[in-house]
Amino acid sequence: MIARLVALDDGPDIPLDRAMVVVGRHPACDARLDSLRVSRHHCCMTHDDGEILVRDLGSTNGIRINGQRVEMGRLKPGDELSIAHIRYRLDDGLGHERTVAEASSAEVLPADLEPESSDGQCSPPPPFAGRVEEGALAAAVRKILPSSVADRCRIEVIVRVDEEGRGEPSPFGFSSSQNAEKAPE
Amino acid sequence: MSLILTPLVKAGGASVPLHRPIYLVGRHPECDLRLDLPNISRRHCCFALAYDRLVIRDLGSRNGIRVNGREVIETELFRGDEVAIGPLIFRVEEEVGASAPAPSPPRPDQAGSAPEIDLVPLDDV
Repeated sequence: MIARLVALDDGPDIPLDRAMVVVGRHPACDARLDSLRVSRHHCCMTHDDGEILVRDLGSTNGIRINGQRVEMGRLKPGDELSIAHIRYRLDDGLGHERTVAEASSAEVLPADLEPESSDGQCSPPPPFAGRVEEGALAAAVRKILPSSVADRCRIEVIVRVDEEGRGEPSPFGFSSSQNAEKAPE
Repeated sequence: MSLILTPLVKAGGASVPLHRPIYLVGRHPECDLRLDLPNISRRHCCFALAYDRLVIRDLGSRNGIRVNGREVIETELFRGDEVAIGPLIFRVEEEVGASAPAPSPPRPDQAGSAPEIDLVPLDDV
C-alpha cells in the first residue's frame, strides 16, 4: 500500500514511505539521482490529503507534472512527474488491484456510470447482471465477507478512476446487490 | 493539531503557523518563511506536515539546523522542541484557540529597534 514513483526511464523506483522524501544528487537525499542534470537538492515531496505534494527546491532543471513545469504541484495516481529529465509515474500502491478490476469490469463500467439514465426510474436489475462474471477483486471481497452474507449476494466491484481530480474523494466504490437475485449456483 | 513556531529572541517576529504540508525556509524569495540573514542558506530547511506529524529537514544548508541543541539532518518535531535555524531559535508550540490562521502582519515600527529579525509569513503561493 506504499505509494511510489515508478521509474519510466532507467533507474530505480522511489518509494514514498516517509513523511517527507527529498530527491536530489546530494548523498543526504532520500532518493539519490546520480545525474548532473539533477540538482543536489532537487525537490521534496510529502503526503497531503491522499495526494502527493511536490515542491521544487530551486533546482536548475526543474520538475514537470504531466509535462508542465511547476514550482509546486500535486500528483494523483497515474500522473507523470519529471525530475529534470527523469520520468516517473505515481503509483498509489493499489495499482495491481486496479489493473485486475479494469480488465474484468471494462465492459461493465460505461453502463454502470449512468445508473439513472433515460430509460425509466425504477429499472430492473442492471442489464449486465447475468452475463458478467465475478472478477478476481469481487472474489476477494467475497472471501472476506461472512459466509452468511457472501452466500446470499452477488458482488460487483466498481472502480472509478476520477480524471477530474477533486470531484470524488474516493476512487473506489463497492456495491453489493443483496437479494436482487439468488446467488448463481 | 496545529503547531506554530515561536521565535525565542528578544523582539522576534510573529509566530509562524505551520499549516501547509510543505514549508520551505530560507533566504530565497520563493521560500514560505523567508529569513533574510547571511547565516541562512537560500533554501535552508523545510518542514513537512504529513499524517499529523511535523518533520524538519535540512536541505544541505551551510550552517545546519539544530533541534534541542543537537545538529540534525531530519527529525520529527514535538511540542516544546527548540529548533535553531542558523542563528535563529524557535520553539514548537501548539496554536492556541483561534482556528483561523491569522498571521499577524509585519510591523514596520519594530524594524528600527530589531533590525536583524523580520519574519514575514508569505501568503499562498
